[in-house]
Amino acid sequence: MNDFDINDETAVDLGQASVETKGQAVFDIDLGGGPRLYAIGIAAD
Amino acid sequence: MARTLWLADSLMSLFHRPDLAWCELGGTLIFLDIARDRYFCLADACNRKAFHELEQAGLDRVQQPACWPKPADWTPPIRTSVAIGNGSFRLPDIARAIWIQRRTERRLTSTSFAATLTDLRCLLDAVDRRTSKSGRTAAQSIRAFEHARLLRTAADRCLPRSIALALCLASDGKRTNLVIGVKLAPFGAHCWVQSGGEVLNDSVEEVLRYQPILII
Repeated sequence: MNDFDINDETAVDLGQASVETKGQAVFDIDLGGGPRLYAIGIAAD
Repeated sequence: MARTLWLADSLMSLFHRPDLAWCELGGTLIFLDIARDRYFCLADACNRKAFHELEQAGLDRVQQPACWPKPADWTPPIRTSVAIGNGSFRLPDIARAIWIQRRTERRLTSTSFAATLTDLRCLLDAVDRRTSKSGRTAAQSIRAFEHARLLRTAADRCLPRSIALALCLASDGKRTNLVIGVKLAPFGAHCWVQSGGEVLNDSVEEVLRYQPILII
């Protein structure tokens, strides 16, 4: 069996799994006091 | 004709790669190559051919590799854990949550995606064979991870956060499932932790936007 050759002709690279697995962060800051989907955090690394 | 035959033959070799998981999203097959740490899909012609080859081979349109079997007790997410929103602010637990998350991030960059997931799977599989000595409840750990978001943002960190939470809960004696899901238009990937049908670190509405591609 021939090995499948992943190249520009046969496949579309969607990115590095360990980097692209990050969800979809939406900083929804509600001035009315509603919940925020992602808090921005107060501590720096 | 020769090219078509080669493609069919080689596509079958793709489906038999030991570290390849895939799922179908709106007529497109999305692949996760665990060993190579990549997501990819096929070009249109190959994608159409791939569906035909999957049917011919009797393979599912959603499949995990044999060496990464889907846990038999996994169920689709049906509710958000109440522990996310209830519980006291316990600084030692929050510090532990952040520390384990940072350690997981370092591990993902210093070793590999596959090695990190392999270690996690080994630890999860060992949970049933040991008992917790921490005295901490699962709800306390879940709540600590939620509070940790206030100090250190969770944005773009679902993978290390989820691995860290699964590790914490495993050390507390609770076996959970780590789920990696994908979506299209635009492509996105997400990760969360489940216990049965309960989502432990996100809302069920959010995770239902993603199709699970790998469940540990």
